Amino acid sequence: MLYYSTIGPMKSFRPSRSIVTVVHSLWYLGVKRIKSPTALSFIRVKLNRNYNQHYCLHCQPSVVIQIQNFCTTNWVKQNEKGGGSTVKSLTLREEVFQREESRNKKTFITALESYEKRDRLRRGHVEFIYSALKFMEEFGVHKDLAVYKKLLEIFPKGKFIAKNMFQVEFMHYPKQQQCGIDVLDQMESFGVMPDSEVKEILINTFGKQSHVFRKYGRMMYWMPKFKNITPFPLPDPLPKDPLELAKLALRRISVDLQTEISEWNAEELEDSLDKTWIVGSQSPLQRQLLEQHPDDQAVYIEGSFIVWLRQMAVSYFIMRANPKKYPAKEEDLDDVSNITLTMFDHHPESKELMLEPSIHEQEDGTILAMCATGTSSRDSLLSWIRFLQHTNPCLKKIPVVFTLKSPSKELVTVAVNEQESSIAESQEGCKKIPTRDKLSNVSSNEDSSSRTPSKDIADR
Amino acid sequence: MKYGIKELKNEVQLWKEEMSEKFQYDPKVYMPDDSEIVWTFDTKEKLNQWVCTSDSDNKDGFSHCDLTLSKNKKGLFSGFLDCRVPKDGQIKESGYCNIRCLRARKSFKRDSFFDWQMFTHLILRIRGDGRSYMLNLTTTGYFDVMWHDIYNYILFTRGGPYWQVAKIPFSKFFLSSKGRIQDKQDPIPLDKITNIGITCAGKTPGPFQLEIDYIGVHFDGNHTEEFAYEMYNVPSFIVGV
Repeated sequence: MLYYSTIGPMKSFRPSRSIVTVVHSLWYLGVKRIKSPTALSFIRVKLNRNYNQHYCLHCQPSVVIQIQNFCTTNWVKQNEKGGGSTVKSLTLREEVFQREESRNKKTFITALESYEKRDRLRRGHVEFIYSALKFMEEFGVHKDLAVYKKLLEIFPKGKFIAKNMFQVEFMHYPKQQQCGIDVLDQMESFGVMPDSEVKEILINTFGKQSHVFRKYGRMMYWMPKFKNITPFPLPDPLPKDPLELAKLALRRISVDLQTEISEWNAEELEDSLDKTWIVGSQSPLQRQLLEQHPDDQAVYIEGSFIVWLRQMAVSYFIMRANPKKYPAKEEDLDDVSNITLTMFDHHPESKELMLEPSIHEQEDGTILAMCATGTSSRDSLLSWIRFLQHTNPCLKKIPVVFTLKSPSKELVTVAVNEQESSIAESQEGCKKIPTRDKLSNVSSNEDSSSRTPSKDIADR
Repeated sequence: MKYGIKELKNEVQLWKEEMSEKFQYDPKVYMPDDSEIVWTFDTKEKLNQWVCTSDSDNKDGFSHCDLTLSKNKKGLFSGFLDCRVPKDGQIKESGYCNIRCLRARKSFKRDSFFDWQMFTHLILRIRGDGRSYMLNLTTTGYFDVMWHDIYNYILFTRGGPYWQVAKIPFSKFFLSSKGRIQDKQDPIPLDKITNIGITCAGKTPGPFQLEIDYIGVHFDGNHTEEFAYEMYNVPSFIVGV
């Protein structure tokens, strides 16, 4: 009867007035007499069991914070020693992660372990796992399989395994299964492939018939298929050094197999302003094309273009000449007006032979060389040309025109999500949709988050 | 009214052509290594056959994209991918941009299909920026569960100033619906394709650009693969649920 109090949303069952008043008074008595919030929360849990079902199973933890007044499991008992006696206070579950001074794997695992030790019964483990998932990227452990395994081990083992077909069909312990699915979903979106240990954990926690295990099965079917399908493979993990990245990028862009990647440093040149590294790529064929280039026609330096190496953007420049126009000779094969009579020893006109255009001769220009520099500035490109003149002496005579999109003016700005530091802010934040205000200037993405698969696929 | 009459004229013209083709019955025969260019991106009218959408159009995010004519008279699908999630409590991930062609049509605006049964590969001449894009071949069915059937494969781009011809066999396309790979897979029904689309999505925010010269289909005589994924018999209440 206590469960059907008027606090709950059940409107169909209407207990008689007298019962209602009794229940109400009991509840109010409870509120007045018991002062410590933990006991009150215990009573609330008993009375408001229906609220658990009102959790949106797919909701973000931010919405969970909104209904934290009813969601008692977001509050964690903390023992603080002060003045000789332990004071029990409540802290928000997310603060467990926010409080950590440094953001790395060790502190994340400490936070997980402290939860495991504190509560043997693992109360509120679902909410804890959701807040942990939210903080994984911040702590830099979002691509770490060991951390995901530790997270999955927080689930109490054995309790959620279905024992008959009805439980299987009706998603036994749906909230927990949905939480498990969300953990695997995050793994999938960051391209982390599970292994047989994850399988064991899932079998022991949810059973082989569960939806979580089915999702694991799907991941293990599809992810290996898409892991190595890229025709342009890159090392994993990508090097963080921009010089190495530039070399990788230029090697990837260069189509000619004979391309030589050269590395220079502008410090060797006395009159350069930017003392930076320069990586250039040129093949013998391109050198030949440059030699054949007439001295009076200009050669254009264009840039800066971006090439994405997984999640890193490298800007490069190209040296381009105007496209070579080949005479288009259209022969009408059906023309019978002037047939050579080979049977009377007349020889047909010798046709013009020409070399097949090379890969570098494209319809919008002939690409003569490419480079990437440390600063991507005009001065560094000048240094590049000086270095190129060692191997291409004709460049000393050919006029070089810079047609650059100045990178400093076209900085790409990406707004970064604000940290939700307090409950009040986050409640307001839930209503606002952030506008396109530029909060931080990023000219190249330097964090090491991997590419997500689009649509459930591991994109490597 | 005037517009209606003009449209009627066009449709009748199309219908006449269809009828004459039907009575002549001279179908195109393709030999091995034949290609057929289905879409080019030379003019603005051709670009009008494509619809460009992004998550900001669906109030799912903040990316923006455009399909324009580049300097070289090629189609340029470019924009900015923004992975910020709008805070409405329901969206978990965001950031996608898409171009999709209009549905194949017969005369009098009747829905039709692209019939590519003669071909084995999809070819695209593109110049990308190193990102990978998703190719979507929509095969909208008659029944509502099949309305979102899309066959997908990833288009990897090299990046750089050189043009690239991507040749993707139809046997590699896998079935998905509403963004989720389906458990029960089947080879793509090449006579039931309604649209083709290219999506740019992912977790790396930043500008993207894909220059497209043409999209076509190719018949490769040496290609014998029927379907790249297994079609086992699976327990019916576990899989596909």
